[in-house]
Amino acid sequence: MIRLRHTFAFRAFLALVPWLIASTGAAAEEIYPDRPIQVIVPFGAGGNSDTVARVIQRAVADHDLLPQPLVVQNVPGAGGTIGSRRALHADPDGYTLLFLHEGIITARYSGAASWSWHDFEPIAATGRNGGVIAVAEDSPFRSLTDLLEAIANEPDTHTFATNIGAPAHFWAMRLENAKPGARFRYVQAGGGAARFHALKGGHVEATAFSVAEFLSYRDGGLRALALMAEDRDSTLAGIPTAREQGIDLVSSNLQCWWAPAGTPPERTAVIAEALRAAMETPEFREFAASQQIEPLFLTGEALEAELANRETEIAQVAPRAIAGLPNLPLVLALLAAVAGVGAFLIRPRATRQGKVGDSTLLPRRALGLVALTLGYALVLALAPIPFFWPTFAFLLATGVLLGNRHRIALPAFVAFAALVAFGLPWVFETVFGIALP
Amino acid sequence: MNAELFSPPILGLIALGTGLGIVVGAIPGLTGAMLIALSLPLTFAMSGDAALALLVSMYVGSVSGGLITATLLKMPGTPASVITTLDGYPMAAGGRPGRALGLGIGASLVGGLVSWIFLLLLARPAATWSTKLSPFDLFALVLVALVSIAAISERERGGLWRGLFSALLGCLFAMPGLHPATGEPRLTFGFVEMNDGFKLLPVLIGLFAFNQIIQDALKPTAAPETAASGNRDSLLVSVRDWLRQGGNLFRSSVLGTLIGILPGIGANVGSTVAYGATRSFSKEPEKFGTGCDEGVVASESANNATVGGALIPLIALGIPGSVIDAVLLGAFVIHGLQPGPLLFRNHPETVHMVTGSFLVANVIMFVFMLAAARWLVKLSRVPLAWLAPPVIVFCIVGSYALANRMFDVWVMLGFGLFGFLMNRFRIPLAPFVIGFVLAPLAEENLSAGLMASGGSWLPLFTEPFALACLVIAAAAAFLSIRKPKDSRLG
Repeated sequence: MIRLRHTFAFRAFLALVPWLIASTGAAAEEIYPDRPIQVIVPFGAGGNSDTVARVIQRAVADHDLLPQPLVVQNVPGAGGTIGSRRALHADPDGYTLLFLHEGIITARYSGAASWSWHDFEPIAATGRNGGVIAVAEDSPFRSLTDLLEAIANEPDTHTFATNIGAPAHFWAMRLENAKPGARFRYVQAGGGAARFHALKGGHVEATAFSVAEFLSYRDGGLRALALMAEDRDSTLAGIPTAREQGIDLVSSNLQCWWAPAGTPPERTAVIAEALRAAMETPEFREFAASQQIEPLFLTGEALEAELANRETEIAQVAPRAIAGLPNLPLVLALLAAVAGVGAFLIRPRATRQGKVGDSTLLPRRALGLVALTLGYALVLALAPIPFFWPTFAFLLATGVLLGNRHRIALPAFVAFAALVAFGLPWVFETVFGIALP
Repeated sequence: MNAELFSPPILGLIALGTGLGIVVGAIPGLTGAMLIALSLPLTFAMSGDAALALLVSMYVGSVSGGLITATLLKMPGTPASVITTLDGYPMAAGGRPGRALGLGIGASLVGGLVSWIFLLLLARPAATWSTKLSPFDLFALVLVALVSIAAISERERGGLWRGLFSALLGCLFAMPGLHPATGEPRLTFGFVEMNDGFKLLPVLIGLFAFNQIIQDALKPTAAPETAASGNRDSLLVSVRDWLRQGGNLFRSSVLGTLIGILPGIGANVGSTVAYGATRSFSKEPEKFGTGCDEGVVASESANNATVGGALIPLIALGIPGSVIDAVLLGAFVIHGLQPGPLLFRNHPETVHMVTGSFLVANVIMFVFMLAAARWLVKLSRVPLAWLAPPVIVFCIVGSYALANRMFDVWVMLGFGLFGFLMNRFRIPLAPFVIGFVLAPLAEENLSAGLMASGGSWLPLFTEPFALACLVIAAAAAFLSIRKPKDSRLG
């Protein structure tokens, strides 16, 4: 009986095999996505890019635009290049995407990154932020022409708060190109809030903002000299465009979605369609209106043409080297060397405790602990196994190692280790939506 | 004050936020910034006011919670409580963990209340004042903090040299990454992962938490070193002792608030400067670092005061004063609110909600921590086998979750071993961390100042605020050289 059943089950299984193979193969072909899609946002939580990405993510989820959710993963640092590099090297399977604005081009031209938009598959652009050139409300400059005159007559004198390598920096350099000899004196400030701070405190004379930034700080005492767009904006009716003032400066920041090079086009098409639908939702429309994001949707060849066009514009200007800054690492290294010699010569008096060879110490136990920790981190980094098992094993091993003298209550400790190893990923993955290694 | 603040759902959210903040602040490896950033998407579904109440109370809780592990285990849960370890831990290890906690909790409450008064009454003038400070002024202020930390060294032969060496090493390790002014990569040795430099969190928990666990494992006692609680150890500090701290409390809270208002300067500088100032004014500076009341009170009142201070430019101008404030700014924007002068006119109820929940969160923090302190004290007697394994896991997970990358985990482990070596050579750790935090601030502001002045250093000596800071820094340096001699003679 047993043998019969066994063979029956076995034959049934054999008969199923081709069908199983066929169906899983078909699933891989047709059902995309069949698991959550990571969207790398290369800036911190709460920033402008992060906010936009999360509004789109929520629109996709609330309207069932994709069978699986988009999961925002913040990988901040180094002006967005840490995150864009992560996406560059991700598997081109459509499960890792990047949300990054024009910074992907400017980072290449400012030298912060060796890759550019050509190294990715552009999926879609989902909106455009206009920009303005602004001064403090008590500034003597009444128009963009005034400002341009001033920087041409007295080059390298008038200060401009910038964010080196970011679009605001390139906007200013393109303004300089409008008149021969015009040069700002750049002062590094950082993001929009920092540039507003520098302008408000009177530490610089001019700066550039996105329209959204400008609207949020306008009541703090700002005056816009020009909008860098083709036409005036209905919400900024009093602000003339640069072209009206005879200066050909049209620029904006395009928010784009990217996939690693080699991602199948039918998959990027699925994402592009979901993004297009997300932009139609009332939630996104309302958000875009409140943030002055122009709801422009571009994909395919239109997007590539637009990107190529923007790259040409950016390539026309080259950042100047900034001279006169102290070489701080060198100064610090010299000072540290002097202090180190002082510390070495003037040693503390010998004390009773604390020599390495002391017999009361347990160097092997400490060494074991370090080795276990390094091993645990290596397994997490390299082995594709769930977080639970290495963590559980590590907790038990270190517990036993450290507890041997004190005879640890093993059953209770096993339960404790299991709780930590299970609870931690639960909190991070279920509540916060972060994937642990 | 609006009535909604005292509705049960809002009070419940504030209690929840404060409680979570305390827990996260106390656990080495997890920080308030992380909790708030991760919770932000969860608040999308709430009303704007409820979301802000929750996030602000998380902020208050997390800055306060750090003192628990800083005093009991010498593992500061947040960067802001590094200075608390200097006196809190010796006091706890000396058999008075209850008193150390009691002082820290009380001082945190006072710091919070003082900064709340500023937030309520002086938000707009204070925020405007903060924008007037030029990059050179801020650079000079950071110099004061750097000098104070180098001066906080063991009262021992060569202590000053080792403190200085440690602080400079800390500054040096902050150099790799993109240049703060030119954006060029430097000292990255070709590793693109290094473009963002070493982050504070992995460095901090490596040096303090992981290193401390190795040290504890090396010692034959199974539990981290603590003496049994003395009979005279009590959470309740006498009224007379509090009165004696009155001047210190007031000075440290006001300093903390003012420094909190300055953009990007933050809680670490607040507690460092307050500690340094208190030590300079003290008649017995040699007591500092051995577990004296003044040290704990100065550090804890100042770091809590920076929270209220940092909220001032955020709500009055929309300028975030710290990493956490930047996330809060995002919360405002997502809920369709724009902090700034108009917020007071268009949404006064939101302003009241923020200031009100800040106050309530401080009171709840005080009640929670005082109520829990009796059990928390036992934390220092938990055997190492139970404490160390989960702390290491938290350190690794926390470092990873910071930017979702393993690189930060390796940095954390590397700095743990580095800290172990520093301990072996008796180089103090606190100056290293503070130097590490301050060097980028100093460089950013110095670079911006030099770029604005066209390369001239002159404004550093002609602007009154900058000059005053330089004089204070020089005086502090002079005092720290002179005082050890006196104490050796005396």
